Amino acid sequence: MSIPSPAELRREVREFLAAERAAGTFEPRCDSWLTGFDPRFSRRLGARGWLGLTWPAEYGGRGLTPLHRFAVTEELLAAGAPVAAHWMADRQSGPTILANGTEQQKRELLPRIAAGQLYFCIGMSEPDSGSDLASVRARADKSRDGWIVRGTKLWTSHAHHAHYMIGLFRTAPLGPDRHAGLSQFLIDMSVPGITVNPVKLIDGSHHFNEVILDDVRVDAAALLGAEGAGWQQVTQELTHERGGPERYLSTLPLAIEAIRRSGDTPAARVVVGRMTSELWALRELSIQIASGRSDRPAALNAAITKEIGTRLEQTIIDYCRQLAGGEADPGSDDPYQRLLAQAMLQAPGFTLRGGTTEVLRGIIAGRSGLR
Amino acid sequence: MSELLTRTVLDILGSEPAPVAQEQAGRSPDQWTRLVAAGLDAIGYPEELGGPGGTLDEALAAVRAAAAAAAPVPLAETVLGTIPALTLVGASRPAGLTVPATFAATADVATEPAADGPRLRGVARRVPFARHADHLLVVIPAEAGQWRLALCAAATVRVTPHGNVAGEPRDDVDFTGSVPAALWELSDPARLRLSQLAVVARAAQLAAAGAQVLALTMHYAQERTQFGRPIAKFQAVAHNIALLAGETAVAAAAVDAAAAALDGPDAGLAVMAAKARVSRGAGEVSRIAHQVFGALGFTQEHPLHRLTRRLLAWRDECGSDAACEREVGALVLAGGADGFWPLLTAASARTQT
Repeated sequence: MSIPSPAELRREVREFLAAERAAGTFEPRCDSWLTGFDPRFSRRLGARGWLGLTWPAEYGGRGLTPLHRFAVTEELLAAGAPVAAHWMADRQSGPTILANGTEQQKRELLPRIAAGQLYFCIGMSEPDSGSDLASVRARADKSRDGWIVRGTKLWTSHAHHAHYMIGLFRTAPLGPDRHAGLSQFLIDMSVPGITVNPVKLIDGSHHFNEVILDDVRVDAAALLGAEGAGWQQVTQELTHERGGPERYLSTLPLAIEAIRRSGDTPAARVVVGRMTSELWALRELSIQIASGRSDRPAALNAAITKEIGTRLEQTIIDYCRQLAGGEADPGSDDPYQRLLAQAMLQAPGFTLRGGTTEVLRGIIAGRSGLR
Repeated sequence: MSELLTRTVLDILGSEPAPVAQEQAGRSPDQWTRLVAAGLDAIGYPEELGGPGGTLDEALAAVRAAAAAAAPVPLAETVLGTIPALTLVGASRPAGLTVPATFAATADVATEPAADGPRLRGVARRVPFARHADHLLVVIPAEAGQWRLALCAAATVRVTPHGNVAGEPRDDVDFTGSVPAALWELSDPARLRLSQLAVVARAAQLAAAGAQVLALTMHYAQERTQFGRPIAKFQAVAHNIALLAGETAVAAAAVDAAAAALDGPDAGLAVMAAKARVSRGAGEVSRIAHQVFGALGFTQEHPLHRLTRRLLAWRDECGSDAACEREVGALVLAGGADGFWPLLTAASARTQT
């Protein structure tokens, strides 16, 4: 099989999505990478080889470039396709396992992620640890044959569906170096001692959870990466998390419907032109990250992309309200009114998840060299 | 090659910044003479026409470096206006300074027949450095969507001086009655290319000046102490500088992408979107920098204004943010809702491979 170019792959995905839409498989959603949970759809993407596609073939991937993955993820998000089931696993957990995991972990888990069958949640935040991630208190203590994990994780998206959690736990007491003594674990969500309680979002939907780990016994092979290297691994992981197109495309399905309802007036041209210019320019920064063609460090570009992109996702809602009349209505038959409601009710999370705007500004200043 | 050019330009301009009087007059003959002596005003002019050759990337690198140095010189207008225009029509280069009306705010100039050959009629408004020019280039309409490029000696036109907020000459030029020294056929794609080059040039200047503003601001915030610590240690200041850094990163990516898109089929959207975005950010860059620098940056003595006055001027030149947004919006609305995403992705040369 010949290797497609990113542009060819983009066309393939676009055609597939058009066919799926025509067949009524899905309705476009805003923020579909969090709210569109559909295992059947994820498995279909896996069967086409569109998940884990940058990973080596021996782990179920295709050895393609980050620009290939960029093309696939952009098309899925722009179409508002239901991609939440596999999203964390494909974007974040898989690459972390690939970078830090044992051969056995990689062979056992990565092919199933790439097939769209295995889903992950991210166990970082806790009741008293949000932006200050290094303050996590959930801990893992060595036992005779493995580890005993205890503590509470919070705001854990899709913990109620996920097969595994990759969690950050304290494995040594807090010392002078707050970033030392943290480790990552791969936790099978089906083992005894794990309780998942729903935390409803403002629209009444269930994506968030509280995950209580009550003396959960895991074997030694559950450690991911090196003991005590959790902070470095998580920091690396957050670079994957921050620079991608889900940081500026969460409200694109709404923008498309707003343009559909807009007349071609001078005022509309300015609003559409501003929205388009902002999206186009920020997208070019994200492309620089995916293609590795920037003289700025990737972590800095990723923080900038997220800081600007997530505010843009929110501003797009206001551009759309200027362009198209009509009130938001979650239950409306009208796609614009429905998407507007989804966007408005999801928007507060855009500038929180994956590092708040305030945390990102600190990172941008620091990584730019401000001391 | 681009890195070498950047260093050369910075060496020439940085070793001796324009004296205050020249800076206020918007033109440094000293700096320009040094750039010309180094052959930097001819980057891109092909060897077969007697030039040194050079790529668009190299011309842009030189333009960026001169903008970062806030040099009051017509380098952008020359290497991204005059040189490409003469190259497109295969013409030899007149002696002295030739300025292109492709950088003007408007150029409403046409030919009319006369006994001694065609004469021009009409005015170009806000032509950069026109009062200092020996020759001027102006694009005029011909039949059936075709164009002509006219070269006029300065003595045949009337120049009314005006200036931008950086003090740079932006003069009205009345071509009425001028008998062009030369007149060439210009295809529509060639005309479009010249106008897009002017837009990309100003966008590149804005991005480069903004990056230099960021560097100055970072340095100052770590040096200036108040309340017993460097002001960079105050989160409110650091967060403003983070916004400034973000604007410069997006601007650099946008200009890079617009330049890469120039030869592609969707250059129009890329070029206009880049100028719109960079122009809109330029005001924010200037505002934040002045806020960090306090009263010091508000003085003539301090060099910050050499950059920020240019940001404030250039953002409205060769297409303001609002004007470019109108054009981008018209393109998108003409393509309809379902064409929006395909149009946006097509306008990126970086993902078309």
